[in-house]
Amino acid sequence: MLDLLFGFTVKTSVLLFVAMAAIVAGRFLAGGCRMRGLLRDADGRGHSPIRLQMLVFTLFGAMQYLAMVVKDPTRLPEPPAELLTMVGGSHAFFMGSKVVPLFVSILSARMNKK
Amino acid sequence: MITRYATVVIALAVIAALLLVPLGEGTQPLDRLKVSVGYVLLFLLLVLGLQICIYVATGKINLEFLICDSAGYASMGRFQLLVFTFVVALSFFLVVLDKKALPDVPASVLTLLGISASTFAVSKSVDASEKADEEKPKPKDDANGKKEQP
Repeated sequence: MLDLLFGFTVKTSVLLFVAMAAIVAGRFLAGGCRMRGLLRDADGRGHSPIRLQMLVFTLFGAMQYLAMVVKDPTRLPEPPAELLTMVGGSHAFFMGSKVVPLFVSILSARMNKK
Repeated sequence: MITRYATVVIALAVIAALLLVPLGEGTQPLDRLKVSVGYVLLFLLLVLGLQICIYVATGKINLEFLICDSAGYASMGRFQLLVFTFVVALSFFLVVLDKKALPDVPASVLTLLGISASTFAVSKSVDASEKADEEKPKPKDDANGKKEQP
């Protein structure tokens, strides 16, 4: 009986996940989710290459991991160290581009106070 | 309100039905209870999940600002968290469907999710800090060089 319950649970979860993923994807494709400014620069004037590289690495990493799972669906595969380094490095650039200007503005505000 | 009552009534009906339905020869009462509770929880989660799906599909739950920051622009950190969450969840389901058991989640997968979650957290804190900076009232100096009291 527990096996039957587990089977029902898996089918229910898959049904809900597929439904939710399809609805969210449909919303994105139909323009129901705002994507404006995804690649916008910090000052809002142009596109940011740091954001572009992060978008590319994110999509590449996600597709690579999915391909690994589709190839061998018997277990969750370990992402290769190169993938982690690539995603981590891309994040470090992105976070640096956000945090460094903030620190600079805080420091300059303190210097002006003195 | 009506939905809440309907859910409770249906859940009670399921419990009653499962307690009355024979589960086979030699089934222990504790096993019967386990299975009954399992089915009821499954049913409630299904109802809840379907309700959320219907609300999202009909626009009652608005996804327009799903990946937007406080300024109303799309945020890369949020977008990435969304992509990796769906990818890891889809991978998890694919493995469960194939293996018919819950798989172990490797630490490196959690690291991958953690990286995108940390970007989201840092973006949020930077946005909050910038917003607080903009909202902070700037005191004006009077003729004697003293700060004006708000």
